[in-house]
Amino acid sequence: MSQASASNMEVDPPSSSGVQPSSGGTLKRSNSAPMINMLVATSQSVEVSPSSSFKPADASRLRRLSSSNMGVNAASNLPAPKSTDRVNQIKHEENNITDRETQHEKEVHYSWQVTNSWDGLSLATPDSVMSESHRRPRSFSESLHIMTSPSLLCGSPSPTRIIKQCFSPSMRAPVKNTTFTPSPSPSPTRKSFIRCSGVFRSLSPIATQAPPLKRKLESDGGDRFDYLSPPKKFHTGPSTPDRNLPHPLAHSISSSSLEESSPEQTVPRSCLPPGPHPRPPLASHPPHPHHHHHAQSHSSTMHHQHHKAFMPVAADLTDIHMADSETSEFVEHTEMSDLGKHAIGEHTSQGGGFTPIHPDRV
Amino acid sequence: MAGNGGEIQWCFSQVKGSVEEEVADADIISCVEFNSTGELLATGDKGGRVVIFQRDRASKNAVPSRGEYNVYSTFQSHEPEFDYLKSLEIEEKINKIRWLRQTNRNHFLLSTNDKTIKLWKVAERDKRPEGYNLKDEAGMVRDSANITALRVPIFQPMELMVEASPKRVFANAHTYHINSISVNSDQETYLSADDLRINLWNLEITDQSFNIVDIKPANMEELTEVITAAEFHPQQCSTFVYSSSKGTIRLCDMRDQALCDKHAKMFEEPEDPTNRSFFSEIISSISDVKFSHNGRYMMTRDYLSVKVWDLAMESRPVETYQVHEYLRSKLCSLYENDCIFDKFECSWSGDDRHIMTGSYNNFFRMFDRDSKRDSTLEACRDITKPRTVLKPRKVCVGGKRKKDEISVDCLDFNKKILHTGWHPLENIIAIAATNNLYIFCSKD
Repeated sequence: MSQASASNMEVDPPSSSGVQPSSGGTLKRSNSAPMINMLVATSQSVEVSPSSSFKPADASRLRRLSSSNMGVNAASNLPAPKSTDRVNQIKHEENNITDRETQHEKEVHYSWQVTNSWDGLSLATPDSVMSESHRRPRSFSESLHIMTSPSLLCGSPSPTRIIKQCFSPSMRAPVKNTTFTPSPSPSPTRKSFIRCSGVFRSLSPIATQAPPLKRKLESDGGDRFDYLSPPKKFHTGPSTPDRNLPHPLAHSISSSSLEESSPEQTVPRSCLPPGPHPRPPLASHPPHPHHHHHAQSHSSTMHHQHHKAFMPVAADLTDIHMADSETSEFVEHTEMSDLGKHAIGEHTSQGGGFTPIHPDRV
Repeated sequence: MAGNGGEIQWCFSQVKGSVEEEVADADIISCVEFNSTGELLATGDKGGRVVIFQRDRASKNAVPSRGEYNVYSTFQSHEPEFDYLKSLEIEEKINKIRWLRQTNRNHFLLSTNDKTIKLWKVAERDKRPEGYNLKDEAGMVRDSANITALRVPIFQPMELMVEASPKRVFANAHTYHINSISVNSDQETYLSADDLRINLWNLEITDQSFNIVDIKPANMEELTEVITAAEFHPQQCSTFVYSSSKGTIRLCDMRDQALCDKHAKMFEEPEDPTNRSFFSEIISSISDVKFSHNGRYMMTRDYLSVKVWDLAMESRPVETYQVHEYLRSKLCSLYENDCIFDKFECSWSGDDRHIMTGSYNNFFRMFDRDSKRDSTLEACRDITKPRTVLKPRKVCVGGKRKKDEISVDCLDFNKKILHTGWHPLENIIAIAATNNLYIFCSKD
């Protein structure tokens, strides 16, 4: 049947079934749905394309329908609509809210159990295994999905202020968010503004508050969107100042560079700052030096894992420096002008790839 | 423009992104949009980031001018969230980006994920003040004993920095997933469309929006179609269209009444009975609708074809182009692997003479409306020589495969080109192939 070859895409039923594929290979009547089911059953082993893995489709489908795993649905008698047909998805979502809530509650409960039982964990001896096994979920289909979403643990962060994300086109790297204020001595609360508010989600919102950026220096007369105060419902907490690695799209190959055989206009990915760093692309989760300074430990670490974190480069050491003293962020400015001379391809001895601000401090 | 009868010959210009064995989900590009002058090109990805490219000055002024773009800015637009009410995760994937027309030196764009729309301001900064009295150049506090004179800080040039800041956040207005946003020609309002509702916003006001279309039935069991795309007319500020999963397009005039549930025009092509199948309704679902630049036509993309409609004629499209008819016989397996639900976008050229859309195997299709010629091109990294014209590809259906053709069974359905953009004034196109962005320009 259709299992002849993995790359054989023909999944029309064998001619003996009586349905002759016409030139379009179509099924003639709409009540051929049962036929489709049969085809579905028989074509399980046929791959459409040898190299396909269909993970994105599956993942998106899972994501859309439920935060928990589909495997749990077996317990709740909910056949998930197989297709990503939006109409059915919506109906399914509307009808199964309580079940999803139950699943979500279970997940939260289990994740708390796990985190609270860290102390109780020890190397397994034959005796202790027996006593601890009862604390683990019995069903393997119910995987322990620890939600690292920060909002899960800490609630929606209090929307406070606009945080600018700065990028330097010449360095092709995000730069630290330098609050550009005419006042040379910022208010004491501003030092926490430098940090990503996302890192400190578990802190009291008051501790991370900083006055809104002054925009008086806009010399262009201001935009129509400037005169209103910062949006009150700003609902995000990006840890953007930490994301100092370039976006993968910064890696570029141009036909002009091929013509002149000039070096590729790429940000070198082979050189990264020393210390814990992710391998590109930016999907892994390095520990963040900032975290050493705060007793947030658990929640912020978990939060950080959630972020597709950019490795903080040397810039963050000045960040730390600034937090301790009340010197302003103008430390950045002088170094930035020096950076103008550094081509991307230059690497200092420390191997920092992008912003060797303080070679001696690294 | 091209001089040989209008046919454009495309050359590779740039490719952005890296070659990875396992593409990180967050790096997959989810939208591509040129701004109104073509000077900037924005991409959004599944990780909630927006990357803006700027036209390279040198390449623009070169003869012949090249279409080259460099990274201008990148920022994190959306973060993943959790909807406690419905116990659902909210993806940070950027569904759409739309630029506002530029009025001063700053750029504004709207970016949206499933639930929240944000207005971002992208501004340059190339000066900074120097010469403070209380601090020295390194930022250290000066010893007050050393301060003997008073000076006025002055602005000095510095390395160009591009800052992105969110100016407005339009949240909590959509129960379902936002699939489209469209800025009105008045540049003051915009619409956002989810599966069942369309809201009208004022760019200044974030805590209110008008609901102008609501197709949610009283009983959800009666739900049969959803809204798939919506767009404002490029010149008429009161007209917009929205497409549905059943293959219909409704044009509404906001001057009629406040709630535009009653359409002014409905564009629907009667179904071809010979092609009817179990999948007919699924493949008739419109994934994208785009007005032409002159506002007289609109283009819709369903699974297998692109149709051009004259706004004055509702009964049928004026032009229909088959994108990959060879897939019609494979619909069953495409349903199996969910590819039948892929949402392809389509693009007009600046002069509305050409249209473009994506396909599988990193192929994209170009149609010349005047000569009715079409071509299939591939976005791949095999660059033999610069300024080489892209060779047209051909997919063979039957048994006999010619030399350069590729058989339908060998197509890679994971390499799909869903998002494309065409420069509004020149023949430069941007093609998003999974995690890579290709830029092609015409040879002339």
